[in-house]
Amino acid sequence: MSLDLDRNPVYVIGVGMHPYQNPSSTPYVELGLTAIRAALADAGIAWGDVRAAVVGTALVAVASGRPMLRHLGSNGLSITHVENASATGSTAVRTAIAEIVAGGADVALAVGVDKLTPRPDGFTASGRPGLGNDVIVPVTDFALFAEAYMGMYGVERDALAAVAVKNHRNGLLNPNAQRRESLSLAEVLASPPIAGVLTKHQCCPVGEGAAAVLLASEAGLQRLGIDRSRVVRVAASVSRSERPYLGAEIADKELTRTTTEIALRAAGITPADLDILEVHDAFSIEELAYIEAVGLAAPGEAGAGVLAGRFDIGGECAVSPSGGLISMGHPIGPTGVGQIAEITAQLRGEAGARQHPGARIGLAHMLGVGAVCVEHVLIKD
Amino acid sequence: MESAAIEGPPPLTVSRCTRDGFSAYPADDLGCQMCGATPPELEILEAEGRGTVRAVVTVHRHRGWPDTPFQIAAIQLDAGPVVRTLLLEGGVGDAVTGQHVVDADGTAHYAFAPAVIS
Repeated sequence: MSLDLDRNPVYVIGVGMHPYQNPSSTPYVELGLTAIRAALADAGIAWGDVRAAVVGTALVAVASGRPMLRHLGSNGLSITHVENASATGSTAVRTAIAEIVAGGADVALAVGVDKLTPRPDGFTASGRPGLGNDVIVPVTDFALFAEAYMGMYGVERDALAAVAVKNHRNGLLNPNAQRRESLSLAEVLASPPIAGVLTKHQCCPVGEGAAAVLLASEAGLQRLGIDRSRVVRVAASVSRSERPYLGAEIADKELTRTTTEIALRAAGITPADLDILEVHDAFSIEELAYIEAVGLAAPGEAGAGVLAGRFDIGGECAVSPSGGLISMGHPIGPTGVGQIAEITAQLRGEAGARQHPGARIGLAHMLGVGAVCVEHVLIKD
Repeated sequence: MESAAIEGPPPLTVSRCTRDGFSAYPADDLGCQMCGATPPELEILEAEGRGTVRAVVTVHRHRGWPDTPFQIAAIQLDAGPVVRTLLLEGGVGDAVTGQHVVDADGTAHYAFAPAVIS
């Protein structure tokens, strides 16, 4: 579940993005190459220096790696494709780290790229559909959870809407964000209702884009003469899947809680040490649930914390400083890789207008339908 | 939504594991998702479509059948599992029973409505 990074340190040496955007006619190959070339330039290395590539796509096509990577020059490197639903990008990063930990490469690329293409999920294809499978979509499940959560803790809808206000405020400062709008609490609440209390601005857009991260071992840093002042250490890489959690509020919250415990222990930190948290905020209620699951607020109190500014950039811990899935967007394959790019920028002090002061430790969290949960802790030593 | 008149709620096929007591809908006929037990340690039962509404939301935006707005509820079945599907009437705490509703193409969908005391 947790990769052995104590004996085999791995570092982020470069990050690059293609902005997340509404569906367009641009082929995925161009989206991906833009992000990869930006990551190579950021790291100051050449494509020929990279020994392994992990390509994360959930929707666009099978075997999407070579048609894209060949345009960088063919150097015979290992190419692996991964799919893990919404956690596809996070799993691409983790697989690249594992390749380095296992000694298969000293420098590896993780790239997430996707375009909005309909594709059935495993539950639908299993031949054992749930009762309301044909009338229920993810937002319905989270709207039901929001009802239960608000009733259980006496939370008002303002607290959910405040997540969308904060994340749009952050995303407005992010040139890679899909939805760059300044929104008031009243505007979020007045946007068209989708399901239950969740309005349009509390639901993430799914579009297209790409994100790339270059990773290296100690040997890789030395081989390429990498400037250590800009590298960020991967302190934990954890992957878990759901169990039937009897009595839990919602499986995704309990899965996040158990995964985070392992990640924080592996990194040797506590929730209070986190400066940056990027979570799977596909819907506003999710950010509240995961702030609590990570341990930054007591059950039922995350919303009050958001309203009080505790999770703003400049607050106790900046949550979704990128804009999160709600504002930056959720193009699926890139999303988890983009979180690593954001945290790396924050820990380097290179996040510009959305820089969280003194950021040194960050956690990236993604869930994928199933559910799976993948988390990384990054530390600037 | 037209509701078809049927005598008694249509049954739901659920599983119950004799090893750990875990019950599931859809039935875990290929193996218990808690412990991996298979039949005969895993029982397949035709349960009555009866339960209690735990949470309900109104859906305002939806592609395809049914027309919006409609209600989706989380229902604790008397047989054990929690299911999510259409709720034709009623709210949290109501005892409900299942029935089939038929869409424009003639496809039957399982929905719940408050139990009628006869």
